[in-house]
Amino acid sequence: MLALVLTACGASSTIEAALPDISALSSTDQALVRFEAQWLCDVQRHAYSDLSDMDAARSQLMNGFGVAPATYDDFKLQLESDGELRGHVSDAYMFNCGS
Amino acid sequence: MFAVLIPAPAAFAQSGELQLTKSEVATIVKGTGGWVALTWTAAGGDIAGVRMTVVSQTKGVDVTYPANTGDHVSLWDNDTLVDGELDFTAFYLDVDETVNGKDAKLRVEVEMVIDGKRATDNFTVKVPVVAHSGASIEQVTDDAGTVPAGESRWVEVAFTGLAPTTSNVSTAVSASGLEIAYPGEGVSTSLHHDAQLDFGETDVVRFLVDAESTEPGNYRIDLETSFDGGSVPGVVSLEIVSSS
Repeated sequence: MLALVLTACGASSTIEAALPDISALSSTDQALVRFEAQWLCDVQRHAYSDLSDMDAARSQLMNGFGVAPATYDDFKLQLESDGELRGHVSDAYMFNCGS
Repeated sequence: MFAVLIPAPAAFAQSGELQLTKSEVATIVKGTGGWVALTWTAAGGDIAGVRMTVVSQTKGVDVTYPANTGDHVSLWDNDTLVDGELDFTAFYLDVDETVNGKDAKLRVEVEMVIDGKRATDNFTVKVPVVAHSGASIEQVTDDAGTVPAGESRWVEVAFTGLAPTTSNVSTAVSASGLEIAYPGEGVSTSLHHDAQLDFGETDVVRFLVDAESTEPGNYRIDLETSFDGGSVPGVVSLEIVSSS
């Protein structure tokens, strides 16, 4: 597998993973896929003082990705019925968080 | 009279397997506690009725569930994973000052429904534990694992943030008898996700160990991790093992 050098988001690291191609998705879905993958990664790297801090962290990250809560709720429903979209999230998650 | 149509339950066509994406939660500082998460997925089919109990295998580590589930925990969104879906479960860990060592262990016992039949599975999860020395960040990893002689491997060292925000974290590495390289041919390595550690956040630095011409044995790697306002030294061990 090809080793990729990452320099995005201030990170600089090399991992063995394939960069998921989600360019065929709408710009909104691309942001949602990236957000969901990043959130599922971030939540496992943090210890939160209070359970409500998890929700606050997710809202803050959502804002950073320009994702509206209602749009995210629709996306979550869509994920349940769209295997290809779930695959994109899974690929992006493994790319961000796989070790 | 009205005809009441009750939707049929979702069909689960294939047998799913519950998988844990990473068998380690975020680091907890001794004498404190925190809500931690584990991320799960279903592979090869759908899984319903997911219900988990988390049992501490380490004295001095206690588990508490969210108030709405009481004696167990389920997934965050609901209790179902369709094939390929990711979701997480959250629970609170309280780690006593007296906990020995740097790793605690949990056993996650899962009850679920696969193909309409009840199923169970167990998973072992590591809880990295650190003592607070007063520094802004704490090194979590003492043992970086193994690299086969004759090969090059990226190794990871984890750090946890203990200050509200620690910025511009970077680590320089030195090791007698080992060749080290950094990502992007740099002169140091930074954290994987970004160069900042928030309170309670765990992230890793990665560097390449070139063992192409290194003799098998145990090696000491010295770390100097700098950040805005300070720096901390550290040590991690690495074993170069004979290629089979």
